[in-house]
Amino acid sequence: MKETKTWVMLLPAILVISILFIIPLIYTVLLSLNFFSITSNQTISLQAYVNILTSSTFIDSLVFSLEIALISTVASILIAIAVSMTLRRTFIGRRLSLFVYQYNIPVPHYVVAISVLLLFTQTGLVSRWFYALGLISSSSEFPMIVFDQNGIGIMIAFILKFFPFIGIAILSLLLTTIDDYEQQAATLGANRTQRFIHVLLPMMMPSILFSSILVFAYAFGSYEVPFLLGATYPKVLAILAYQKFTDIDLNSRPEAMAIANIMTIIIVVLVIIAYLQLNAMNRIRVKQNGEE
Amino acid sequence: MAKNRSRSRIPILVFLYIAILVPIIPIVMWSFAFRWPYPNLLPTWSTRAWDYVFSQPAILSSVGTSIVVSTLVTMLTLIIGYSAAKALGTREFKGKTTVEIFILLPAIVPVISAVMGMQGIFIRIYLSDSLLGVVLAQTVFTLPYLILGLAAVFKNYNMEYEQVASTLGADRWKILTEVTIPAIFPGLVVSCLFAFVVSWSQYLLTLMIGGAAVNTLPLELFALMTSQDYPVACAVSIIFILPVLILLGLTSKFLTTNGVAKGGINQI
Repeated sequence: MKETKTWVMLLPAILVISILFIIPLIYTVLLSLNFFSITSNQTISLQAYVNILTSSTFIDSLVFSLEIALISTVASILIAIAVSMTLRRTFIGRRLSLFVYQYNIPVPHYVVAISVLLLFTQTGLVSRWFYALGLISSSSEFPMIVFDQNGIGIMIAFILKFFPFIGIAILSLLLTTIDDYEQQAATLGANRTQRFIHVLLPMMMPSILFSSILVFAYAFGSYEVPFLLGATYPKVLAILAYQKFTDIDLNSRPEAMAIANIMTIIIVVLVIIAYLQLNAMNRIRVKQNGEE
Repeated sequence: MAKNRSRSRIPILVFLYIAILVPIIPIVMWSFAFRWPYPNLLPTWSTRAWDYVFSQPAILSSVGTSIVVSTLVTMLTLIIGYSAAKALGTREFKGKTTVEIFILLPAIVPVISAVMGMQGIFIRIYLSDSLLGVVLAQTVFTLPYLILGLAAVFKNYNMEYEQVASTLGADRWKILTEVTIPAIFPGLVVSCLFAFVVSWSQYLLTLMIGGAAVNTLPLELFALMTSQDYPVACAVSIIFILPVLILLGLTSKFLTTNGVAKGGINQI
């Protein structure tokens, strides 16, 4: 049997992604440059980008989106490490804990967002519990967690969803390959902190980095969660773009496209950097393994 | 010292259980609520929301639409992505990282960034407002998860079995159905489940490509949330996540032994 050529095997997927994904992205760029304008016959124009980049609404949204994505991702990584480190040595009720840990991975983000909404609004369930305990005397004393300007509700929803996703990836490593290395380090006299910093963390890094990319990109671009939990101002970029896209004023469409393109560029650049980093890490690891 | 350590574990375990289980409480309680004025701890119980859900043709048909769409998307994704996953999992070649990043793109570029252009093109080629259009659009976004997940499964797969089978005279179809698929079956199931879940929870994409023509369950759910009918929205949420959880339960054996957890996404 003749072996199928590699490029032939890759072709169907690459073709489908090119036609149904890359071409729309290019089309979006053209629309943002006013390429198919129906209102004027002027050709390429950067007006939409000028409008966007000079508007404080856009800048606020950009900062807000980056903030939410960064804080949610970092917090999720820290929680994921803590929980995974705990679960790998837990033997009582371990099966149940593992199931609980995995439970919300297939639950859509916006269902978690609905939970956050029903728990944390000023008349939500937690506020009622506080009231029953006498901690507050009216719903208005409960802090604004949802629909707040700092996006706390949005971040809570993301963190609840993300930490198990990152954590399961870490835990599976901790339960398999890493364990042997750690035992060796322990035999050689490394204490817990040393083992964590010099053995566990470097070995977890690639998988943390990879799942963090997915998580960061999701938090940065999500429409649904901020739609349910966000304040009227500032808006995340996805909401801002969608509103400009559906605006009655057709002139705001190129601006919607411009926002979309800026989002794409930010994410793609970040991912390429992270991927190069990931490859460098893997190379070092292969090298180290080779020397042994 | 050992005792100290096991004690320090308890707060973290408590956090885990609270973080995962407490969010379920308001959803279940609201789905059985008739009215629930502040500051009552419990609602006035009723099965109104559930009666409504099971008597409302729009909701019931959206369940059907969701099942049809996500099943078609999963099948299409598997057909398109299978060979790429095998190539990425079993072979080394020049430009592999570039190919990986390219395939990952739909999973990381925000849906909103692609969907506006997509809608424009789909309108021109008469694919918008149609089931086919929604299936094609979703397939693009499920492909990365299936390909990269399945590629990780293929990394632990021994190509020699195929060579042996080939020497013994098996043709391609026989090798696929009697050697490859049985060998990777658990990982294959988990990867398909992943694709199914990604499709199952799409909202914005379905809204913008399907328009009013393709009414899936997430669209119903968002309409209910917008009209603030929390009891019905929560009942629909439960209907929405139950099938996925049942699938997870059925495949949890695969998850811990062979699938996402062990050989999955983290090995890419």
